Amino acid sequence: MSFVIAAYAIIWLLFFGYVLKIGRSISKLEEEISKLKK
Amino acid sequence: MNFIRRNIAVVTGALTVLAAVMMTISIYMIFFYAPVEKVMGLPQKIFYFHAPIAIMCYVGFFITFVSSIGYLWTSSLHWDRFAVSGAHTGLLFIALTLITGMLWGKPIWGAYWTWDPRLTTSFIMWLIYAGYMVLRSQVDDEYIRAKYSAVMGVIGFADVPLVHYSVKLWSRGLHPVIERAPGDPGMDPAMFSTFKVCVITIFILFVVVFIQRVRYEFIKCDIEHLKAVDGQ
Repeated sequence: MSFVIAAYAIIWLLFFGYVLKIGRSISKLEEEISKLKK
Repeated sequence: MNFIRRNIAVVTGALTVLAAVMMTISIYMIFFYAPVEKVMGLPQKIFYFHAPIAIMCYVGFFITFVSSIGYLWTSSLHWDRFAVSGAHTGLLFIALTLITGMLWGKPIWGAYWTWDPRLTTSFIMWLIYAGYMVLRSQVDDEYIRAKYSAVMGVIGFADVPLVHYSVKLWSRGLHPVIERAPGDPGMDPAMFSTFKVCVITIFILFVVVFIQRVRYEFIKCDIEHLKAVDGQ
């Protein structure tokens, strides 16, 4: 059972961690682009 | 194009929430709806996400393959951005395929890793696309970078059918060859329904990750161009 829980925990963390991380990177880039356009 | 760019953040946000909801439904179905498999027991439940994740990594690399051909054909950098986004997404999915496969393998085969044909070709596939990323990081000129990585994106895709057919090509492996009649899912109806829901969940997650990666690549390029204009 511990292997199954570990697998699903890793899937959950990696997916949503990645989505969150890239979302933050996009926000930073959007801030930078708005500064450059000013 | 501007309309898509303006609304893409809203669409991606909605898809992320949908993915989280679908993930919860899938996990509920896996543990409380689908029966426990008689031979493998609980570890078989890893299959419900392991197989769709493996399928979607093929899709990511197929996007890289098609976009690489598109770049070599047109020399438009838009294709290169789609190609690298496909490779990034595929790389995440193949990494998860390998991790979940190892966690499934340990209780069933008694080892996290064996040099089974499917595992070996999957590992080679991970190495190819990790190499693709390393190659991109080493070239500064965006057109040369796009050209080299497009060539690698086309050649590297040759490993994808090898991974898929490895269990049939080399029968010595531990991965079972599943023989079944056309239309027969080869599993219990409750298991098959759960599997279908998991495929939809992983597909939505794939779309979210891919769209976010495409957005990132396009914005990054816009910044580089704005900086280049400022510098002139």
